[in-house]
Amino acid sequence: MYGIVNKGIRDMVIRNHGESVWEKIVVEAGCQEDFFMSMEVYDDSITYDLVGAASKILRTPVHDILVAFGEFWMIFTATEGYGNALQIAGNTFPQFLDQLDDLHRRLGTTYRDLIPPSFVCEEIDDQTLKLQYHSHRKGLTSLAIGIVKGLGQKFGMEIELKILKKKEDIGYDEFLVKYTLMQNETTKKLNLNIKKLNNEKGKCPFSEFRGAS
Amino acid sequence: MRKGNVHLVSLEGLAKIFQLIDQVFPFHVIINRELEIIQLGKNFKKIDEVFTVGNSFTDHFEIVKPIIETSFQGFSNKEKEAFILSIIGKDLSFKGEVVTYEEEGIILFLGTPIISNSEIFLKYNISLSDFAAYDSSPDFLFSMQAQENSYREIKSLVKELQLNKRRLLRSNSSLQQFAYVASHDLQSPLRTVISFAQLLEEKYGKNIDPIGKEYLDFIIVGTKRMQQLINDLLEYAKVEQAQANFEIVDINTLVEKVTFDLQFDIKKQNAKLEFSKLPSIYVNLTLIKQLFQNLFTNAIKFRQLDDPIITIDFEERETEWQFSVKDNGIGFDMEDGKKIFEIFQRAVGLESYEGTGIGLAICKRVVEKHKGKIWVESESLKGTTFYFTISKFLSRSFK
Repeated sequence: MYGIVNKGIRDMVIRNHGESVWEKIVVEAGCQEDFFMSMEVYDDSITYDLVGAASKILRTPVHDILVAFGEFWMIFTATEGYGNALQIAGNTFPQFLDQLDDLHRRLGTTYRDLIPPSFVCEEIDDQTLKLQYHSHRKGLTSLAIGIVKGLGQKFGMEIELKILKKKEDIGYDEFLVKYTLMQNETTKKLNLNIKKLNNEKGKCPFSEFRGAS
Repeated sequence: MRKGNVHLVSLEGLAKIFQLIDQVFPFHVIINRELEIIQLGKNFKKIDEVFTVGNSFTDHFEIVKPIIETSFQGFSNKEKEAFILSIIGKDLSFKGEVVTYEEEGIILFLGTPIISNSEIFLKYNISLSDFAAYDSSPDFLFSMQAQENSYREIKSLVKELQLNKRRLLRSNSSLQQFAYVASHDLQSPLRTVISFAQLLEEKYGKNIDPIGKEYLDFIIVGTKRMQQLINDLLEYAKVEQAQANFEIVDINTLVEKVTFDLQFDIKKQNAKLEFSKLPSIYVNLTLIKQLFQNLFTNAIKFRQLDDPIITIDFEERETEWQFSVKDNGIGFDMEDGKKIFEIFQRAVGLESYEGTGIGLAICKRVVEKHKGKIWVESESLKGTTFYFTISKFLSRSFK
């Protein structure tokens, strides 16, 4: 997996739990280094080990860690400089989701070793869609759930997600996704959080390496 | 048909071609001989409602490149060249090529927006789905952002490294100073303890029972050992604090000087030194003298029953000198090969010999200050060979 993923996990842990917790996770995961270059490919096992260690140290199920990371991913990539690029990927929640494969395909020309998942959408009505999640990797269903939720937040949508079919049975996961416009207060709060994150980035030039406090 | 072709396309055929172009080229413009727009890619309407079929090409577009007369003939003469069109009154340009159909009097411009930043997309309401799958223009944007991110990461990393380097230098300098001051200042009270312990033994020795005498001996031996440790630490600190002061040194003369300084031990142990002509090299005389002295002392100290024989050799390499100091001593287990260069560390089995375990740590620092490395090959009861290198490219100051 590309280093940006591990970097994202690091960022999320440091933001929510502090640098000392991240150091414990690194030790627990048996990582030789805790600095990751975004454009460098690292063994998948490092990411799995970090998630496993985070689950142990934070005493939180792996599922919850992955969902949280999926949600965080949209904010993280935006603050890592991909915000504008992501903005051209779609103007609405269903449009963005529908274009995720195209986005990954295009990113693949830069990230040559990218092995992205595939998201196949089928519109049910103007607030519901059926989503297939195909991945070459194991155990990342929860991450997909988080990403869809995070994407919903990006567009100010309240997301309800139901697993219809599982990868173990049909080779991919199928979800029913309901999306409704968030209440104003929730949206405002979310926007404030994103703004705060962006400001922190701006203040601390080393935040990728030392983490924002 | 195009230039050089004989048949004309039927109106029906033309309509199909237009339809196809509309599907495949979302940013195309088709104009007629009078430069009237007869078809526009669907995305132009998204950019601005004013784009209208029937308007003149020159109402909306300006040809930036190549420099041509804006006429059918002008376009026709520059087929296959890269065209850049800008939209009048907007900061949006397109790159592409022009195809002219002379017989039918049609010009096709097939292009894509020039992407320099994503703000332009947001400003003109263009999204990823507006591009044909084969069009790699948006990919360039991702590529640019990835590059910027990598640059940012590396820049931050370099800053972080510089910061750490400064911190380390500061801490190193403080430690060196501390070691020097501590070892220097500890000498005086230690001398007092030893002197008074010895005085006590001399003056009141008769009145002290055997157990008391034994205790007193422990005090004297212990404090002398401590004095030795402090002296060695001071030597180590001196190496750390040494200035570069490089000069051309004849190693033959230097070895003779060291032999002279160690003559008492050499004679006592009946040791022999063997070496053929050694080179003259650019080094810090004091430090290199200490290096040879420590290695010779070791070779003599860790002797077997046979008389010690020390062989010095060297090899000139492209960027460095490699020296070796070989002995026929007791040797040691190579598992300790790295440990012995650490301060106060000694090889297993050699603890009973006199010494503090600082001599080889000093050798290591001396070699490092000459941009070289030191290593050892040894076998128990067969002898030891120390190798070290000295760079031929030493700057005027230690870095």
